[in-house]
Amino acid sequence: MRRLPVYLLLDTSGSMKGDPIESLKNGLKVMVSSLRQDPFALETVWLSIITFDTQVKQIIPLTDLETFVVPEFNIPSSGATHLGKALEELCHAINRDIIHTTTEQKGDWKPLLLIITDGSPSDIGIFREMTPIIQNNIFSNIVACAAGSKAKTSYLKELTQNVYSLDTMDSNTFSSFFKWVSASVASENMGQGSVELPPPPPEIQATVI
Amino acid sequence: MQEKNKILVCGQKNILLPNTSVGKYYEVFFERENIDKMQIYGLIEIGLTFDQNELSIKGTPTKSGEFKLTIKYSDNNKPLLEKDLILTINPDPKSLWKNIPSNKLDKYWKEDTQSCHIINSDRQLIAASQRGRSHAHQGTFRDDHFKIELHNDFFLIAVADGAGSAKFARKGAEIMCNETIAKMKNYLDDTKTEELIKIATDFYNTNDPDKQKIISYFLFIIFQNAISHSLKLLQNEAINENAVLKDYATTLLLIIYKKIADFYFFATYSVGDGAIAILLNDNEIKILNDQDTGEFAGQTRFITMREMTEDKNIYQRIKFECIKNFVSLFAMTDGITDPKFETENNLLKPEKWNNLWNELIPILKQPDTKPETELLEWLNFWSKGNHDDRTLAIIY
Repeated sequence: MRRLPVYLLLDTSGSMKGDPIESLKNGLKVMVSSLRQDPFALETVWLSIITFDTQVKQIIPLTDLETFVVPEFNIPSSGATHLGKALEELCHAINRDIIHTTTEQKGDWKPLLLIITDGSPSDIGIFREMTPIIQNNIFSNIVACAAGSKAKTSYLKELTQNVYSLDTMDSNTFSSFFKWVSASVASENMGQGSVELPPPPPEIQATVI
Repeated sequence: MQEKNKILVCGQKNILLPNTSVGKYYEVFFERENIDKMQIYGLIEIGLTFDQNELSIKGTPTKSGEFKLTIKYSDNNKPLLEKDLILTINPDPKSLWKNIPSNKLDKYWKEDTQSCHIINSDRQLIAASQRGRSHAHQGTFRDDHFKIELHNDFFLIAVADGAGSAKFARKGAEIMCNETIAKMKNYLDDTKTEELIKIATDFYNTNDPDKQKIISYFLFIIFQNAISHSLKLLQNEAINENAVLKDYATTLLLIIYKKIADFYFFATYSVGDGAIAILLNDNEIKILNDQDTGEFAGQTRFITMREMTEDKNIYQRIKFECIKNFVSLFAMTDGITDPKFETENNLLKPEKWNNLWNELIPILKQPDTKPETELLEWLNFWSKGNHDDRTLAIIY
């Protein structure tokens, strides 16, 4: 069985505490339940969540969509936003998880990466070190989302062309964002090369480089 | 101590039930701890039951969704506690696939299926092509295509799989199949047919490497002519449509077959994935194409890539065989190799091919039916995660 691995890198730094993380969680639930309505996704999508604040953790290892449960997030009250380290952890995870095609086994579809942050990386050095590695043909698509007014899109743009801003971090906005992401995952279903994303809903702004 | 897989209730803020799916048998046990009473409400509606003695939920779910159940329990004779229990039931994926017809007004519209059956004096040739569920679900087009012909006692076969990422791949596959076969037919006139019979017979009788080279060169000319001719047409099509050749990317499998005196002659050319194989007998399979596969799923090579027109590249991709006897020949796209063989290694295993052949015999050897329609129906077989277009051609 070919899997379509989807990696979610989620900002769990102090500023996400309270409503923002609850909204993000609701958004995730919307994404998961709409993916479950898509037969291709239901059979092939595997999800993993890596969270980053001062600490970086793969809180959900790569799990098939049928058994996946949206987790609770622990948000520290303050600290750094180690997106660079999260990318590093992501590389380890990819090396561990992804099955490549050989004569003995059928490989996975190229994985997708979704990053959500409400700030900017505190570890810019590592972030810039990791950027070319992440861009080097690992993912079929990288979507980055700058959530809230304090989120900086400039760093994300160094990583991918697909940077989107959400003005607010309420449940509705996150929900429509994740609905759109899940539609994109479904449209990616042939996994061949990078597929163009459909236009996002009005509450999401595509950032033009 | 908590037994493995038993669900803790006492003192838990959130009680998590593992997810399940419609139609799949479900069974979970709760940790007995000091519980003296327990009941769960809301199960019957979704096809599940609670067993008070075992403290278990059992059954086969009938509805999908996220269900809020209520659990009431007491431990150590304390008053009843009431909590929410969330149970996620996934739909059965089979129930989610839609079958939306493709848009007939599209300039490159083509039938969602294709099938054909040709009987010759010695053998039969059958082919069918079915739009995959992934396309049917979105109302998009079948990207696979085939063309088969009986000409001068030759069977000519082309099977192509248009690239999912290329917007006009369906047309690329169609043009490459139809035009390449047309050109090959044109080339194999009486004189050339005589020539091929002669050089193949010479080789079969002597096994002389020089004679082998003569055949290789003969085949090179015919394949090279046919491919460059149809690629030129494809290029023109692209220019007319203000598109590029890459938009028509497709794989291509070509087969020339003929019974010559007391042996069978096969020649093949291939670019991309899929498979061409001759089942010689129960224990022997001969693969006649090299797999152009990448590191990730779905990666392959296409006939529209620049290097494919290089003479050396074409030459390397040609194979031929002179064989005393055979059971059947198969040509198929990855829509069939993926579910039926899974890995490249399995393609080399005769038992896998035998299984496939045994599955097909009842369809092909039924009297008084249209086997091509039966084959088309067979192509709808269910295989989790494998919903690509499927095309299969068989000489038997």
